[in-house]
Amino acid sequence: MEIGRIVRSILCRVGAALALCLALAIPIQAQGQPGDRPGGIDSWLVLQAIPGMMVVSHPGDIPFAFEWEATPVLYSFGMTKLVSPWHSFRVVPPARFTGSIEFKLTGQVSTRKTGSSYFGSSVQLIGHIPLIERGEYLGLNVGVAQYAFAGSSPWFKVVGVSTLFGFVELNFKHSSDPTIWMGTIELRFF
Amino acid sequence: MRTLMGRILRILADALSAGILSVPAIVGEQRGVVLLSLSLILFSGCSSLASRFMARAVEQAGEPIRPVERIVASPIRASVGLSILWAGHATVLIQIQDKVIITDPVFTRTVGLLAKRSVAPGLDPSSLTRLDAILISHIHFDHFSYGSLDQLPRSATLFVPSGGIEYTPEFGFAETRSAKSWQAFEMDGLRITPVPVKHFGGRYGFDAGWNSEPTWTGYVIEYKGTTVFFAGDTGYDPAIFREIGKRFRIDVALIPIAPIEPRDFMSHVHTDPKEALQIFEDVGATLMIPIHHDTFFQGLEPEVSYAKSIMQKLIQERGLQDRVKLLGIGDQFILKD
Repeated sequence: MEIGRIVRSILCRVGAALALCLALAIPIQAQGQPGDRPGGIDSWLVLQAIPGMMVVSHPGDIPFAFEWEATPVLYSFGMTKLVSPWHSFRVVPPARFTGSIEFKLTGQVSTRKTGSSYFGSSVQLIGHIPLIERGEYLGLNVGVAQYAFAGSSPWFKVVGVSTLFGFVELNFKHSSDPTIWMGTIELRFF
Repeated sequence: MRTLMGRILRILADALSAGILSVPAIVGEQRGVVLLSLSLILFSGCSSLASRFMARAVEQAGEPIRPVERIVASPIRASVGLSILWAGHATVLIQIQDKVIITDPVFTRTVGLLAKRSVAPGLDPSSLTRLDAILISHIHFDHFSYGSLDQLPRSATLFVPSGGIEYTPEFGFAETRSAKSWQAFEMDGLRITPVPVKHFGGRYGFDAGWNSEPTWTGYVIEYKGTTVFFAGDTGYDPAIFREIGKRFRIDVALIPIAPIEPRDFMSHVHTDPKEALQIFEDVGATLMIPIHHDTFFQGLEPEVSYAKSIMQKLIQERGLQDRVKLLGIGDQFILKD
């Protein structure tokens, strides 16, 4: 019953966030015509506002959080040599899912206080390994993350998959000291 | 079960189509593209049109892939002047004497994860012992298939529209070339010229306007006096095609004839059979081979062979039997021995 309530709560929040962000993004994106090549930085920014979601194991409770990600540096090793392997912030999905190492920063807003704050952050180093269709259908994510919340900064091992053209990542994160599990659904639009 | 799922999805999506995302602010020719991609993301549809595309894809997922009637065991011939093998959709194997070129190779069961082909490919990629060039017309899933490119001989040079380079994995081909309109490439007498066509960019929908250079192109292939025009995927623009006709003396034009419906949206980016015949006239080709039909459900046509049946009718009405060859999937047409 409790799980059902949490799931319903998560779905409502996710739906509302997606609807809001996409409603904002559509008119901006749709102003162009075929052949226009404006660079799309404005719609890119709006799409970055779409958060991922995470649940964190916690004694007696399961806090839910929204998580926003930014990629200061990504080194891609799966793309043609005609383009630079180095990417920053605006990362074309194939550069990530065809094989890459990504350094990213995240910020979280939790629905419950962890310690004295609703906010958290992390630094992550994630490797993306293509499995099917060069990673466009399915890829493997492995890496490490250090989260800062509730006055502590535990290290997590990260493992998961990416699918749907790299838009959706399902990752599990585990810290052994203290023992914490996280499940994240990360939405990546460039 | 999947058909039922498709119906449920359609009902749900249509119900949602009156929601906040189908706002009148969505204007311009990218409307359908944006909505289609968003429906993919949300899996609930943002407009009635997008939801119907999605529902069609889900319905098709439950259908079996029809086997192809014939597959040429050895498609690369020891001696031939010009042969054209249509493998379905925009995948065409072109042999001009000793040069072998393939366009938009797609051999996978699905494209873009969700769109399933309705008929098997009319070419076994393992039968291609060598290739000189692979021409990618644009970066949409049904033309730039990563899984299909992985099945082709590495001897080839891969041509990708200039704006598509940042979507191009390293396949290990002999060379990868960035194709800009009118900038011809010469390779051992084989001349390949990217030419403009009218289509739209992006691979994932919402990225349609994000590329600094076009992600779509057509190609003209010339070798030892034979010229083939591959239009890729295009809408009709008389100025573009008349210009191509002025610059080249084309023997064979490979021109798309689908998807057709809904016409008010598709007409901006896809030619129907009538418009394809107009392109054929504009470029002044000797022979036309219709492509980009009968393989995937892409529009809202009642059946996958809808464009083919319209084309057949037009050929009869206009007496074009000798000038327009409507190939079956897997057919290899020898034009010059």
